[in-house]
Amino acid sequence: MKTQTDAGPVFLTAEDFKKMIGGACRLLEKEKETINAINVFPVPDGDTGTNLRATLKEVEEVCFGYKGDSLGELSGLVASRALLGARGNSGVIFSQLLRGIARGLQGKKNASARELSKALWYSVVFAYRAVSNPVEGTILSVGREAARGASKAARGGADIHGLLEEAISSGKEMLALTTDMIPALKEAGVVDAGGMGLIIFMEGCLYSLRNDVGDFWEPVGRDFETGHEPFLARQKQAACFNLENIYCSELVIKGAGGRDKELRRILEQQGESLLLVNQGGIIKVHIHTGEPGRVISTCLQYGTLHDLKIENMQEQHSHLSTSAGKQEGWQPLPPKNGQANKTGIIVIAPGDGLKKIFLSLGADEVVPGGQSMNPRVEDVLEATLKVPYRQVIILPNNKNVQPVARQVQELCEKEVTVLGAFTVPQGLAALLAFKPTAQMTDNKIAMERAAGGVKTGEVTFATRSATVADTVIKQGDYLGLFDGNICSWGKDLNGVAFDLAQKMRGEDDEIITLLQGRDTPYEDAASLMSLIKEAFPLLEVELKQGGQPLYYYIISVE
Amino acid sequence: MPDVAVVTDTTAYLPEEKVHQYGITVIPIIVNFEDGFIYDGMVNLREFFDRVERSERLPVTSQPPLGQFIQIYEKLVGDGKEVVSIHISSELSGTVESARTAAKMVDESKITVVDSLQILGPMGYQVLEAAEGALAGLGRREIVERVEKVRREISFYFLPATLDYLKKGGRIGGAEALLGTLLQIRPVLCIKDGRVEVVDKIRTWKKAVDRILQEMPRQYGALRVGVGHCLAPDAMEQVRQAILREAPEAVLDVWTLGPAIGIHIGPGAIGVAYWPKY
Repeated sequence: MKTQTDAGPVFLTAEDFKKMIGGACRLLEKEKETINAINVFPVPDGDTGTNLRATLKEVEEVCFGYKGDSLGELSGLVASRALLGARGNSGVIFSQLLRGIARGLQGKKNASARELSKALWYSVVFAYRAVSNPVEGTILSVGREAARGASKAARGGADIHGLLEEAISSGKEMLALTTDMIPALKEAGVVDAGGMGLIIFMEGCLYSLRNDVGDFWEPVGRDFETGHEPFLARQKQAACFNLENIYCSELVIKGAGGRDKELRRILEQQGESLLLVNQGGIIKVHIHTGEPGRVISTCLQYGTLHDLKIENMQEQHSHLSTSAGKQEGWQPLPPKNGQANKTGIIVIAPGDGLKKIFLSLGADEVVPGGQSMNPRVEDVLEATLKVPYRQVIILPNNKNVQPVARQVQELCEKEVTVLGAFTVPQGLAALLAFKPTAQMTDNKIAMERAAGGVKTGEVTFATRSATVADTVIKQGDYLGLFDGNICSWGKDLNGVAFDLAQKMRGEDDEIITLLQGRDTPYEDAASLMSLIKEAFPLLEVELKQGGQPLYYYIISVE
Repeated sequence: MPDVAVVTDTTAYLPEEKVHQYGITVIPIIVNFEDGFIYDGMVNLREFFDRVERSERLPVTSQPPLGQFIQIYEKLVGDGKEVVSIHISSELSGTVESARTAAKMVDESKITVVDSLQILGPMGYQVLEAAEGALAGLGRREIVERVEKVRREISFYFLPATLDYLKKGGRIGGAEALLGTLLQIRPVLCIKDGRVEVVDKIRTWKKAVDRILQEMPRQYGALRVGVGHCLAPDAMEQVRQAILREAPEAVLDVWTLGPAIGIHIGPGAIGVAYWPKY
């Protein structure tokens, strides 16, 4: 890696920006497999590299098409395109980084190193804000340290090149530390994939700016391997089923000025599902909390309060389960005044068979996507806009799709609810619990409760060798995952699947559903079915064509 | 005040002794096989389904003939009585329609036809309420008011073993949406506003039964619960025991079920009716 270069430009122009994006795209294209290859567990995972590359590709098109000469304008266009094209968790965070940069460069024709460094700070702020539960040791930390480095360089009078160099080297230092920050990374001995993607992006920017795109790139990926999505997703998942914070509180604060950051920090301690939007000094707050009084007192210190709304979600919940059977009937009649009051359901699922199953259970739109095939924000958004209902529920059915759905929620003017359904069986259970006549809040609670009560089994293969509980799993071995944890493995597909099913089965279970993967021969699936039937004569076994890639079987036991 | 006579049809499957005790007139629904018909309520359910199995096509049900209503109403009115005539939900059968036509033809001022919006026990409770009111010497209007109160208070849930019978009989109502479902589900259904509607889509029997138990009213002065089954005595017994555990103070009736309803909900079905009195 080269160090200090010849004198770089003092100002960054729109032309430079285009060049940077172009260079970053090429480098990411070259290195995406390196990023892809690093998974925390030997399971096909989020395809961080592919997602980043795909997100960037969208951005590149905007750059090609831009004929103006305003850096501010171009970065704004880039940011909104990235927002729509973002794929995967890291793609979404990345799009937020670009949004922050656009915010920092707003109204500027060119930018000095100082101005660019300020824009990088904005990008960090935007990215942190986008994640409901920021985890250190991810792309976020790498971005933050890069911004810190850039800032130091700018203060020391560096030019644009110098600034980027310092950003990259500070970011890299952080990247190396990520291994020790997240247990899952440490276990696998790898660094964070998203963070590495960001470093590669910045290096691409720098090299193209220096007209220096050659073979000098030494991939860091060979030594550091990882992807951070599962860790992040697990944390989110845990938060989704928490009913301790039973008061859904919403309010608007006027006169708070730009103090929303500070307020966010405080409110984060007071609950979960925090949503805080500052639009020109008017702050809208949404939070699930156990102490609404405390939230209100806090907010009062920031301005005047308006449109206060506090709902007891527990009560809505009990209402759902006990109000039934009373004399006025147990459910409101379906609204007859048009479709506006209905709720549309968007499902993200891999495979034709699963699509058919979800549609047969009442989904309005099924967007293809799932493990290692993140849908584009735009596709999910399009489906959301397509259904003729104002209220929409999105079932992501995969932890990596969750951020994409959240993005749609933010972009779409409809009332979008993203459900905590992280696997296909969870999505199926949630959809069955949906009631067209029920209120959105009641549906959300009932559906997430149903999703939480389901056991998910997945049979896939190891993408690389690994050691689990002192046993070596070889690359290509079949893996049985029970709620995301490896619980059986071996060379025989049905052997692994049967073992998994056996481990999943509880005494009270009555039915086992096998969703056959795209690459699973029907004979195998049928023989697995008879195997299970023989072993558990009292269990009903249902075999359906799921058509999903990567997973030979998705199994649910109920 | 003239005496009030209570008329109903067989789909309430009232116990014989109650019919005698209160002097209720019961008009049978007709079940038509290709090679002849039977009167509902007069054939044992097991024998009935044996015959169904031997038949190429499922039998169809039909409302009692208009003439029978006229005959009965004329006789009762002729005896100086007024009539409260309570029948199977008009959403599921044309019986109410026939009864109303007959009432008009005989003497509308003396006959009230009540659409029970129910079947089985939930309809039977309405009939018994009317019969008790009649025995207590209440007038026709007052009896009808009481019946309508019971109708509002009662809720009825059932679990068919399959949706096939509801579909073939054309009585599937709101459960039609479940027909194309590609996963096996155990729908929890109810009769609401006279129609079959879906309460919940559940994948296993035990959870479906739990779901019905969940619907048990929690606040009441007294609770009466009726359970019934279509050739599924063991399943019903489990439900009965569960209800006894959940609400030991409830009055629990076991209702029989006959061919006319059996053929629509199918073997294996169980049903639970809740009647909370406030």
